[in-house]
Amino acid sequence: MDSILQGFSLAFGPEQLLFCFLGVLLGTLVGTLPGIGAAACISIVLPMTFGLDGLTALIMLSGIFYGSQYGSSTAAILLNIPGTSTAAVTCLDGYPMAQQGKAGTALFVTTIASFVGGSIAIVLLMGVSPVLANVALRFGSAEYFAVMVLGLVAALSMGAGSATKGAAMTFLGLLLGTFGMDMTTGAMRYTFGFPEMTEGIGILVLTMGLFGVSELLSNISRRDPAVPPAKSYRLRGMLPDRSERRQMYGPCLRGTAIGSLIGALPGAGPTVAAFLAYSLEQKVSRTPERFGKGAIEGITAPEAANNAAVQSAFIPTLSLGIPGDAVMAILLAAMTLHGIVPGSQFMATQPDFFWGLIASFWIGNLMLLALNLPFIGLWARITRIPHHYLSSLIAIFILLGVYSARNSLFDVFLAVLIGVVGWGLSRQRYPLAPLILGFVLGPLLEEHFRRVMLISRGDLTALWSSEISLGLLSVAAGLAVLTAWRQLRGGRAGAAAVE
Amino acid sequence: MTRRPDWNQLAAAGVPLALMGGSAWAMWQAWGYGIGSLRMPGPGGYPFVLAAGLFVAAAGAVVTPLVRIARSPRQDAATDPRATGDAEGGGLTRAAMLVGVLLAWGLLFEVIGFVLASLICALAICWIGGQRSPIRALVFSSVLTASCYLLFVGVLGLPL
Repeated sequence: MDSILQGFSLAFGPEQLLFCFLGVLLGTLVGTLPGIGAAACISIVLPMTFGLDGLTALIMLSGIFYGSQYGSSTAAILLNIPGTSTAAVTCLDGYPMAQQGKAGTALFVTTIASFVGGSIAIVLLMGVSPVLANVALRFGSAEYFAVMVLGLVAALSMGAGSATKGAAMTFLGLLLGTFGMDMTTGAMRYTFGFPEMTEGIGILVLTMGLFGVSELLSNISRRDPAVPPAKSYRLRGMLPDRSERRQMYGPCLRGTAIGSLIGALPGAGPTVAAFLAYSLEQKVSRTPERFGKGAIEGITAPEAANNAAVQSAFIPTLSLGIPGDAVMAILLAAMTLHGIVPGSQFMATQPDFFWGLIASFWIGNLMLLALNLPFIGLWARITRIPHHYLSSLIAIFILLGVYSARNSLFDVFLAVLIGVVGWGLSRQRYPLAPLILGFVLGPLLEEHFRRVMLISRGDLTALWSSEISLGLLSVAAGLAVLTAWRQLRGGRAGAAAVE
Repeated sequence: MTRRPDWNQLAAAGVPLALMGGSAWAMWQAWGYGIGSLRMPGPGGYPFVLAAGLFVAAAGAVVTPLVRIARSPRQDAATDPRATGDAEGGGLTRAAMLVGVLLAWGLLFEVIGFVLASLICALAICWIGGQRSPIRALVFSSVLTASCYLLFVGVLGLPL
């Protein structure tokens, strides 16, 4: 209890409040702007946080992550373009609502649903993480190996699109993670003779290339979208009427439940949660034909779900040190760069840090409520900024950010190269999230595998000798078989919905 | 109907083929690092397994586009990216120019310094993105460069 109070008092420091505000403000901004997502923004901001202490930096970076979920519905409703992929499903009913002149109501409803979803998931995070961390205290290398394998398999089986392509990206990410000096033997692997490659590819270089540069390339190769004229929004006109309010409760709670559950699983991010929540609402609705034509349930449930999912995604990351999706993988890397190693030890030794971060989520969600409701007109106007201004701004920040992390021009050229490759891959619908996940988990996976082999003297069965690791690996194997089977039968449920 | 290669399918097959080539090379390299044994894994063992996995997955992904190419040697102009899709209006050209600008920033950075390189770079991106008013582009780029300088050098104290 003491550490909880201590954590809250940490989060209420003036500097922490300021950076929490900056984080959620930036998050709302990049969420609103189509063409730049939370992953790119967190990578760009990360090198600027090196001067801050770890907690403050994490408060800000996490704020960008969950803040972007609030902002992403704005562009979805007003422009029919999702600000981030998680809001793609919000377009389905949000844009029709805007066309019916109910844009204000839609924006109000999504903000409230986001807040409810996020808040409930934080409570879950507070309850579950310490328990899970306690279990993980007994984990050995074999168990960690099993959890990571499960996470990687889950990521490619639940992700959107082809599982074959997902598997290829997972292996590519794992392989890229081996570049540089081998920690055990000191041998050089895939350095191409560059001394800069001794430490491998920097996580910042990789994410700025994959998400920053490749997003720039895909933005500039598209035309500017048609932008509707600006309108003014007044709070009174935005309030839902009584029947609309009654339609919100159920979807909001069901969306939260799905989001919290899916978000906490390894591998499944907020996008999957939002789609599942939407299809559940369609199934339980007595009037499913209203969906796609401006049904208020169709925006409430997915918005509650994606916000719940981004909060509960912190559960595996903080308590096991194993991220569930690409953005969490970047946040995990950010923690490592700040000298924090999340996992069961972290919860036991630095409880005030953990609770401080959680407390900042409450503060951040309240700030987001205050930022989004009264200023919705301002955010609506921001979607009208011409693309080329944004592109040059993002380009300069990426170039400077990559360079400044190590004062290395080599990294700049490498990031551009990775960006071109990433753009080519995503044009062919190769998912980039499993790549990042593989890259971050790869070195850990190798380390734990080697440790098990060393202790067991090369006996592979040591990997599944404990009940926990046997259980986890069985689930992973089951998921893999199921995914392969569905892939062979053509089309997976999630894939059809996302594409 | 003219016979012409189906660019979409060629690109769809090209990516996994490149991945297969890369992973074959990575396997060969890993073999050279030393595979070791389970009891004493060498530095190459783990990357070898991963590269083999990548090879198999990429081989799986190459099947669909290859089958499509084999089944339909004739292509309508409609599936040509030059006639449809995002390549219309020189999307690929603009992307290539952007890559050039980013690389140029890296090359110019040490010669003419951060301020000039960023200014030129921002101007060029505004132009590629369709901003045809030089004054607006110049005003925006100057403000952007100045704010970046203030942020990175003034606030964050980076030695640029």
